[in-house]
Order: sequence, then C-alpha cells, then structure tokens
Amino acid sequence: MDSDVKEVLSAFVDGETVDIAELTSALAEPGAREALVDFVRLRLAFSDESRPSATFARQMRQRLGGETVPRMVRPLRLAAAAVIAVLALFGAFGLGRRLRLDQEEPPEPTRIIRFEPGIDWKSVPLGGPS
Amino acid sequence: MRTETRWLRIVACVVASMAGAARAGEKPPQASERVSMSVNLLMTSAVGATSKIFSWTLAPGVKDPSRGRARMPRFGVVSAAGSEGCTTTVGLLDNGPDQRGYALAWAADATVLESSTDRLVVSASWRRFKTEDDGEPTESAGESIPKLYLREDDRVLLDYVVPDAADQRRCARNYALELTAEVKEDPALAGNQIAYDAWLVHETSDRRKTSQRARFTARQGEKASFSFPKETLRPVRGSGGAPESLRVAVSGHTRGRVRKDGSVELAIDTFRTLSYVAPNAPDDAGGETGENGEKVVSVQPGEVIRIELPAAPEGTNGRERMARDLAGHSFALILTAKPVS
Repeated sequence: MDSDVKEVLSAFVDGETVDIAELTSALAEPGAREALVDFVRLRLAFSDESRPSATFARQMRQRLGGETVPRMVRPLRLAAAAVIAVLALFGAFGLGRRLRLDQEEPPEPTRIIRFEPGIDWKSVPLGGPS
Repeated sequence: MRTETRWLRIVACVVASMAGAARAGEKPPQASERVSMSVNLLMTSAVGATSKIFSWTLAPGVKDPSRGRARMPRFGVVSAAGSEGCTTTVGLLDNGPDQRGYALAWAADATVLESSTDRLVVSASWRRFKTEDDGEPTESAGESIPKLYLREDDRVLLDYVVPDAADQRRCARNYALELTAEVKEDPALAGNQIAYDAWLVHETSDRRKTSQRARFTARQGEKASFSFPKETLRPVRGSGGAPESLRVAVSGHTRGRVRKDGSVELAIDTFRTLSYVAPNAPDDAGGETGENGEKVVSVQPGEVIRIELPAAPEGTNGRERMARDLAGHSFALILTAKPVS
C-alpha cells in the first residue's frame, strides 16, 4: 500500500473531506481494511475528550465553596470590588497629583524678606546690570 | 607689545607679588583681611590694545604706621621708542632708583572699611608724579576717595593720563591706574560647593499662582546667574491706550559662602525688567523699565527664604501705567542654598 492510499484513509478517519473516487480506490487496495482499523484505533488512543463526572464536579465545587455561598452574596462581592477599584483609582490620582505638585510647587519659606523701594530696590539704566 | 615690554612687565609683577606675599605673612589674618586689593597700571599701546603692565597687591596686613592704611611703594613707568621698537620699563621707586628715569610715577593706598559677600566698602587715595625736564618729580594729580562701594571683582579707574612727550606717545597712547578688589577664600572652606534652588512665584489677586524653577550649583564665592522665562500679564480691562500687555522678566545672580559655623552668607541681586508687548508680538513694544534689588543675608543650610519684589515699579514719573498694570500681581523669589560636599 502506497503512502497516498494511507493519506486518504487517514484523512477519512480524521473526518476530513476526501474525494469519493480516491476513497473507493483506496479501500480497494490490499491491506486497506487493516490500515483503516489501525487508524481508528490510533485516533481513539490519542483523543482526549473525557469529561469529569458529575459527582467529581459537585465535590470540587463544594470544596471550593462554590455552592456554600448564597446567590445574593455574589452581587455584594461585585459591588465591593467596584468600590475598591474606584478607591484605587482615586488613590492613584491623588498620588499622581501630589507627586506632580512636589515637582511644581516651591517649598514653604521660613523667612520672608522684602525689597524696599528706594533703599535696596532701585531703578537701573537700561542696558545696565543683567 | 614688544618682547622687552612683556619681559619687564613680568618681572615687575613677580617682584610685586613676592613683596606682597612676604608682607602678608607678617600679621595674622583679620576679618577684613579676606579682601585683597590690587593697584594695576594699564597701558594702551600707540598702535594696539590696552593691557595690564604692572600690578601691585596691597597687602592688608602692611599698614603705613603714620596713616594706618595699606600702602604701596611708588612706582614709575616710561616708554621709549628705539631702533628696535618700543620699550616700556616699570620700576619700584621707594628705597630704589629715583624718578629721573621715569616719565610718570604713582603712589596709592587703600583701606577696607567693610566687607561681606559681594559688598565691599573701601577708601583709596592716589598721587601721580610727573618728571620735569630737570629730572625732579612734581605731583601733577591726586585724589582721596573716602568711600568706594564695590562688588567683588569690580574695577575702579583711578587715574588716566596721556603722556606729554611726543616720543612717549609714539609708544603709549595713554596710561590708566585702576583699583581692583577681590575676596580671598579661606583655604579650609574654598572647596565648598553650594546648590541653589530658586523659584519665581507669581501670584494674582484672584489667587492664581504660577511658579518657575531654576536650579544651579556654584563654588564657594562664585557668582552664579539665574534667569526665569518672561511672563506676560493679561491686559487690565478698561486701561485704555494701546492693546499691549505688560511683560515681566526676572533674573539675577547669587554669590554664597559657607561660613565656619555652617551658615551660608548669600548676596542676592535681583533684576526686574518691565516692558510692553503687542498681542502675538515676540518683541517688546518699548517702554522698558529696569529695577534692581540687592540683599545680603545669612541663612542656615537648606533654609527656605522668600524675597518679595516690590509691587509697583520704583518711582512714578511716567510709570503710572506700569504701576496700574502690575497692580494685583506679586512676584517673589523663593531661594534655598545648601552646601554640597
């Protein structure tokens, strides 16, 4: 049996679209029947379509507390999460604002000095000190 | 300048410096002795530039016993044109050669009356001697100045003279005598650096506030300049006249010294320029006014001081409009000086 025949049979087992004429021809080849059975056996051996049993799923849900929580608690949790998210948003905004102010606001002085006109504050000629 | 002139100038300066240094060691430093004053002779070549050809450091520790002032010996200068060009000779005359070989001679003395960072008050006097045809000197000019208010590195022109003789003028267009003053740093503190954090805060009557920042570092005693971007004020409603806005520019410089007690002595000079600018015009429209304020303060490291600029421009003559447009605006500097190692 050549490889083309095996490919046609393998595609057929995998559910792919195959040409009817080619499939008919392949099935007519010697050893085709054995090859077809082998492909089906391999497919069953490597397939993973198993599902946990309903009992297993129920037990796991109980252990994780899924069914011990009343249904009305779920909206409360969502609301709490939303509040936390909003507070975090405001906190981040405030922190960012404070950081920005730290960079743009001068420090608070501890001493104030004033220039006094006529004493230590005077007119200077244009083009004078710079 | 000819090689001979340069050589003589170098010799004269070396002699003067050695004499000054030797005398400075005779007496322990005092508070006012941080200030070093120098008398310099400048010569403008007949065909070239002005250059310093002689300098004498007035050693503050050496006082004239009769007058209590730092003094210097008389020195003379002569320029002569020869076959190989001009030769200028400068020589000390006290206890040395007489003035016969020199066309002009000077004597000077000075006293430091007060000193703080960037603020010096000194008195000075000088005399000029002219050598007559018979070789005898006569005092031809002189002046006694009771008080000179100087900043560090300032220069004061004391005397200016054009040589009488035509053969002198072929080499020297003129001579000038100048006094300079500088502060000698304490070696123990000379390595200090000072970090400055300067803010210009502009506040309006409706409580709006803007600030601009300038940070810079300078060595001990070094003058450091700062300049903030110009601010254009909104035109005052109903002010009439041309639709121009008042533009305010603030700049200045600081000079600071760390003291032995850890404090920082600061000299702060602030300049404010007011001018009018037309809408959307990059250049000032004119009417510029300049003002300057000076403060010397002692601060603790990291202390934050606020220096408020006057609300209205100094004087009122022709500045009513500026005063009106500046009303409701206040400008202040906020300054911190911190020594850094």
